[in-house]
Amino acid sequence: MTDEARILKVQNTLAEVVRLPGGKTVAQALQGAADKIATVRAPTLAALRARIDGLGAVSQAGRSGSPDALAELYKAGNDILGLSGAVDAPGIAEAAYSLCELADAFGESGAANWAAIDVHLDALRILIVDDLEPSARSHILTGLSQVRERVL
Amino acid sequence: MAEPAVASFALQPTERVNLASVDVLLVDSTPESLEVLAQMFAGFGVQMPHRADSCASARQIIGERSFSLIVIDGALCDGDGYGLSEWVRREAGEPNRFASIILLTGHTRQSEVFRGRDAGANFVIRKPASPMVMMHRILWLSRDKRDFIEAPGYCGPDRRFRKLGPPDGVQGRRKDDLSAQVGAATDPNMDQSEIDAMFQPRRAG
Repeated sequence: MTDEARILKVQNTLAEVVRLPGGKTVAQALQGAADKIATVRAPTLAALRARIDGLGAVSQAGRSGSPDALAELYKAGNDILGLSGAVDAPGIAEAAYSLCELADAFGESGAANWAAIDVHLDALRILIVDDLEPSARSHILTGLSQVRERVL
Repeated sequence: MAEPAVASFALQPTERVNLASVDVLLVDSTPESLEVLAQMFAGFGVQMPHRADSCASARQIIGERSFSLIVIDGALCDGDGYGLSEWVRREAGEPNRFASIILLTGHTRQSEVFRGRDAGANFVIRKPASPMVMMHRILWLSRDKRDFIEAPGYCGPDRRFRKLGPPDGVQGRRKDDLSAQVGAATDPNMDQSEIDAMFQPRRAG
C-alpha cells in the first residue's frame, strides 16, 4: 500500500434494500422491536441479577490481591450497561458506567479503593429492585457521583 | 443533495423501511446481549439476523456470506470489536469490507478513545442501544454517500461528514482538498465590458 490515501466510491448495499417496497413503517418497526425485547425481559433481568450478585466475590478476591479482579469488574460493568436497556431499571446504566470508571482508573493507577467499589456494588443491588422510588434512585446516583469524585 | 448531519436527521414515524432482506450480522460475546440485539432486529423486520459470539466465529461467518450491516460489540471476549472492525475493513474482502458497521461501546477506556475513531466503523453507538437510536442510525446509513478511504493509518468511510475543506491555515492531506479561505487576486479585476462579454451569446465553431 502506498503512503497516499485512496478514495473509493462504494455501493451502499443497505440503501438498495431498505427502500424496497413492503416492510413496515418506522413506528411499526420500533413497536415490533419493543415487543420482541419484552419477550426476553424476564430472563435478561434474571441474568442481570445473577451477574450483580456474583460481583461481591470478585471484589472480595480483589481485596485479597487477585490481579484479575478489576478487569473482571470492568467487564461486568460493561455487560450490565449493555443489558440495562432491556430491563426497566432506571439508574442501572449510570451505576454500571460509574463502576467501569472506577475499575478503569484503579487498574491504570494500580491502587484500588475497594470501599468505593463495594458502594457501587451495593447500589447496583438496590437499583435492580423493581419497586424502588424514583427519589431513592436519584439519591443513590448522586451518592455514587460523590464517591467517584472523591476517589478519582 | 448532501446527506443531512446526523444530529439533524429525524425519524419519521410513517416512513417505510424494509429490513426483511437485509443481511445483518450481530457480534456480541455476552449471550443475553446478543439475544436482546437479535430480538431488536427481528422486531425491525429482519428475517434472520445472523449471530456470532466471538471474533473467531464472526470472521468465519464473514468469510462465508455477504452482509449489508454488521453490528459489533466493542468488548468481545476473544479479542476486541475494534480489531474486528479494522479486520473487516482491511482483510474481509469485497463486498463485506464495504458493509456498514455499527460499533457498540459501553464504557470506553481513555486508551481506546482514538481506536474507536480509527476502527473504520460507520457509527459508534453507546450502550445501552435503544431501538430508537439503532433505527435512526440504520436509516441515516441508508442515505450515507460518503466515500471509502483507504490509507496506511485508516481504512473505512470518510470520517468527515461535511466537506468544509481543511481548517484555516492548514494544508489538506488530500489532493482534492481546497482551503475555504480565498486568497488575494493574482490578476487585475475584469472591467464591466469583459463581464458583459461573457454573457453574450456567440456562434460556436
